[in-house]
Amino acid sequence: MDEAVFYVAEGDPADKHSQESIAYHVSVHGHQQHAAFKLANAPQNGAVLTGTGPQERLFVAQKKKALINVYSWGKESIDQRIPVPEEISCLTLVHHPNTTTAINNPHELANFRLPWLLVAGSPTGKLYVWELSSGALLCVKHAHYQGMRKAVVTRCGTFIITVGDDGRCMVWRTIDLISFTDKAQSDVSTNALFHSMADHTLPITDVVLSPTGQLQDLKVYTSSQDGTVREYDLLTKQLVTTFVLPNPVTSLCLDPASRLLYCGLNNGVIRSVPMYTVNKHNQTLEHIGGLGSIVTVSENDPNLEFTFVNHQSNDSETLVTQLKVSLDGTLLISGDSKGRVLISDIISKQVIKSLTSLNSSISFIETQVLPSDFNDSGLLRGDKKHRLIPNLKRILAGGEERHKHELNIQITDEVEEHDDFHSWLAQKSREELEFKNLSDVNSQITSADVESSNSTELQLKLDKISAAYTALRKNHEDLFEKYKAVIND
Amino acid sequence: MSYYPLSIVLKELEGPLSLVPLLRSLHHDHQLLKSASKSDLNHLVSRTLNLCRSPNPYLKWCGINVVYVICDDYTVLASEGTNLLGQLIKITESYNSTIDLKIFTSCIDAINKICDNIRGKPTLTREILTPKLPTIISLYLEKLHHQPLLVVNSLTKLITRHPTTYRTFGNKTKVKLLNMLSSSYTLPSDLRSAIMSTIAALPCIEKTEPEQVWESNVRDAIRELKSVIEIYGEFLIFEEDQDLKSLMEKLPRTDASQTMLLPALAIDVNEGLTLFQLSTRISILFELLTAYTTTETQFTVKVPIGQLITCIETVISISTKFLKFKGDVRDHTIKEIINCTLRTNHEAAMKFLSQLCRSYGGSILPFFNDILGFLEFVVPFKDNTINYLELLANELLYLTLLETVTTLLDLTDNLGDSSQLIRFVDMALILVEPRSEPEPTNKANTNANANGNFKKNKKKNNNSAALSDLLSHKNLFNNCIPPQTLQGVRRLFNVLIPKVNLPPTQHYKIIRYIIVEAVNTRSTNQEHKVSEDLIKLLECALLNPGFETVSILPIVSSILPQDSLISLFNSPRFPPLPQYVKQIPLEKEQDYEQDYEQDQPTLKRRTENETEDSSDDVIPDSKRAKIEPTEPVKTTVVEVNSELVFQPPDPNQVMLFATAETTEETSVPALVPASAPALVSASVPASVPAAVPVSVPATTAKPTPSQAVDINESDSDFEMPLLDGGDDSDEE
Repeated sequence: MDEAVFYVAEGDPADKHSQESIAYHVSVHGHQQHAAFKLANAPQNGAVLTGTGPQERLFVAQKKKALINVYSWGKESIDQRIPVPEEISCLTLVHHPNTTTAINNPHELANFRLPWLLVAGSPTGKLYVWELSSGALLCVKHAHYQGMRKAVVTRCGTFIITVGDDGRCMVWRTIDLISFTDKAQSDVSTNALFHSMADHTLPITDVVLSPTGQLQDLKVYTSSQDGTVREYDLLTKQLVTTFVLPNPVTSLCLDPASRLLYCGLNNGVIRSVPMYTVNKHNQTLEHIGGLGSIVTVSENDPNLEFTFVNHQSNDSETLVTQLKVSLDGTLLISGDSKGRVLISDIISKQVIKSLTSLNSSISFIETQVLPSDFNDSGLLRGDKKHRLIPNLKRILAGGEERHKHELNIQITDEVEEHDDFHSWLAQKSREELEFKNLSDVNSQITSADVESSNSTELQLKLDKISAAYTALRKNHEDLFEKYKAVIND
Repeated sequence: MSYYPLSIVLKELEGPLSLVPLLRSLHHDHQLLKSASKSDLNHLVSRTLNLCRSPNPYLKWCGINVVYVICDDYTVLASEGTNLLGQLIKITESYNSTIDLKIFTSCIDAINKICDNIRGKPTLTREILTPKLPTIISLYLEKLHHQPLLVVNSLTKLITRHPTTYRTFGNKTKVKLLNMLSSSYTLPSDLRSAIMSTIAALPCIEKTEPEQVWESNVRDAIRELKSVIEIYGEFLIFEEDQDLKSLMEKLPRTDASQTMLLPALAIDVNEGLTLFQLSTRISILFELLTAYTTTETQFTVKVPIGQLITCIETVISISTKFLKFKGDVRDHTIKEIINCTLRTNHEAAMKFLSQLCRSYGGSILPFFNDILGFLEFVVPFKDNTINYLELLANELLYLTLLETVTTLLDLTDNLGDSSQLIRFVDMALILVEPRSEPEPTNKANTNANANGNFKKNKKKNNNSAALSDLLSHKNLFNNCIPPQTLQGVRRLFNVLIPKVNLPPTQHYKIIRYIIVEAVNTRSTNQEHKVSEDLIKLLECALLNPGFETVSILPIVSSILPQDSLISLFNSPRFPPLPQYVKQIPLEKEQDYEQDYEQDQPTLKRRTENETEDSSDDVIPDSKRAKIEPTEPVKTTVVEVNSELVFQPPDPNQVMLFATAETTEETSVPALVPASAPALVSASVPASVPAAVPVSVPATTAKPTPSQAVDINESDSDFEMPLLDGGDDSDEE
């Protein structure tokens, strides 16, 4: 088992053809580089990876162009350039929902596999939703008054949360966004918006969700240039806590067990905010915040107990643009506006590894856990016809489209269960019993002695008669010869 | 378990009395075959082959099953694979219906096992499997009728794994399987679905563009389905429903020139029984479409999901609830039969829809509202209430409906509008209501009494004996709710509760049902256990309280006292946090013992042991300098005091959290300490324990004495990583 990190940068404006832009997928703990993607640059949060290994894909929004580039794992160059209605500023994927009551076993991995939806936001504030296996544009919605910064999706895929420069955080119900029915009845689906949160006074820079599978417990954290991080309860639509940071917050990340919040600031500092603390008076552990309280995070931390200063530099201002925490919650992976990606130990606050720097601001970081038998040397399989994804359509799928809706997929079998030798042996034991005679009656047919003696007697008799017949015939022939001789004479 | 040595196995194989112990020994004792000499292996194989050649059916069966087990060994397979496979093929060839079927099934199993073991190994495949494959396939096709399910499943595997070799047998297979499908006798459902899967797998043997063949097959099946649906237009007035007409237009047109997959139907209105062919054909076609949309393809295919859902909608829209019979259909029996076939069609369509939901997940969600809309038509309504008698009369159909709704709802985790689901909930609640026999109605007696004809009544009525029981012991006549219904309804509730905010009436009814059922189940067994599905439901109801003003936690806690999730509700815990517990210097610990030895003898014994243990460890001087304090801290002794180590949070205190000062500005206490965390806690007097930060970071580059980590002392589940501050002395 290993953990890997994928990172990509915004691209150097001077490098017009993105010749110097490379995205890397490297091991967090080792030195192995699993993949590299050439000519890859993306706006902030404008890239998304479907997974690691052969048959997985990387989607990258092209900056200042109405294009989405698709890379296939194992191929360094761009595999597909897909035109889209307008320039895209952020991307995210929605995977197929996991059913809880499914009687079937899980299915095998297909060679051609795609996530369910591709969600994109544009600098004009529009929200686009495509179904990847059909390429159908299921939703176009003017979601924000200004550019969209980031879109995230709940684990179940039920809600899509978007944030934008207009300082609003919008929660959309996926099923209502993509429904054919609403489009058939009216051009604008009215009830897709679940909730709108407009507490921030300046553009929202980042949004993260608490890592839980239960929607009832799901919290949304948004960070803004107004120097606050706000925690919302998704289903109750309540503002739970406001954290006031000393500087504008540029990126946000949550511990995998929601114990600490990491905030990247615009001065290159990363502040960790504990979500639990011990009450001084009664020595009990308490959760910080709640019920709309405001928690001020002090700037004063001379011993750097809660501050990572690894990205700070004296010569110019550095922004922490991307943050991620490792699987075990002990490593913080951070990218900055100078293209550096550092892996720091969360307890010692020291950099334990510095990954290959990119030529511009880091725009997307993703961590992934790799299985023990991960083989990154897998080559591309299948010809173009069976590898390329359907083109993303630029016209909204209307109500009548549903009858012509087609999915490009590879159907896979359910995971085969191994043969159970014990049940096979039990079956054989039962079969064996059927061969055995369990009754008191022995019905086996055996040849009786009488029969055998009879046959011997008959044989002897037959031999005797044959011999007599032969002798008789001989006598007859002799007589006949004598008779012929007499006649002739 | 003891296994036989090889010598015994070899001896037994000459004429086994019981085969099972031998098979067990050969399978489980991995060293048995691996460590066997070459001559022993030769003996084993030759005796096995002898058994296979034996005319005695039992011995032949023994030989086949020994082959099944020993072919797992690579050495045997590589050296004798050809002989073993050849012998099995010979047995299959010579098989006829007079021979015991067990020999045939064992033989097919063994051939499949050998093929599976060889598959993927290039040399073995080239040398053993490829030359024999055509023989095996033709044999399977020839002997298919002996054990159809087993052979058809084996054929499917051969089609998908060896499409090139199978190419020449494609048409023969298809014809044979379609003949079986269109036969007049009813096939078992598992065999029917196996046949469908084999037919659906056949396009992969095409040399060029198999995906086109797959697609055209699916479209042909849809066309054929439409042509069968159109027959209903002879009995019902389709023109009355404009939606149905437009749906029919959306489906592909049927051409007279189109070659049909299945033979034409022969329906005679005067023979009502022939009308059932309609529903049988529609069921077969839906099952065929299910097979096409779920059977593995080695290539990408274009699934016409829109048309498939339109097909389902069309079939469900044809209902006598909304369409009238044509004037010339007057026979009541014909009307009943048509109704009956329509119900079967609905069931087949809903089963297909369920399967699509399971296989295509999110891709069905754009159709979600449409699907719920047309499924609502199926609910038996009469005068704005659910028709109870109709519901119970066709319980399986409506159970399928509920299961389809469950599968559909399972695709999303939250629904805004619950109004579309109320009918399904009401129907489900009625299905799990206690059922009783209707009141006996003896009109004859009543009339007789009314006429005052007592003489006739005196005559003993033999039929009244059973009815008297019905009146006196009514409780015995409560019909049991089928377990299938219970499971289906409970699955629906399990999905509904967390996803939909139902109106209070339905919500309370569901909660009441769950609690009553749990209490009833608990009281019916000695162990007071509640079934798994009810436990799930109770937990689900607890986690998703809905509009409840009074929590059901006390009730659920009483019903499930040992449930771990309920325990977490009653004794809430926070996640284990990263924390430091400092190492106690030995000298100070001893001081502590002297101070407290009279008061805490137990603690003394514990620390003595620890001291002995720790004194045994020889710490290098270089390392000791980093661990031991250069300047002893006086209050280090306090750190042993358990009060200072994190305590489990007091629930009462936690519950009081953030009441008065909720909207006031507070600061994060963890950010306050100005010095190293260890020193902060150490400098606080023992009587007033200091607040220890939730996550206390420490720099390992310059470890202070009190920052050394004693993992053994930690009560936390969190495992602190051992930080190596660049100490080279470890290697010494």
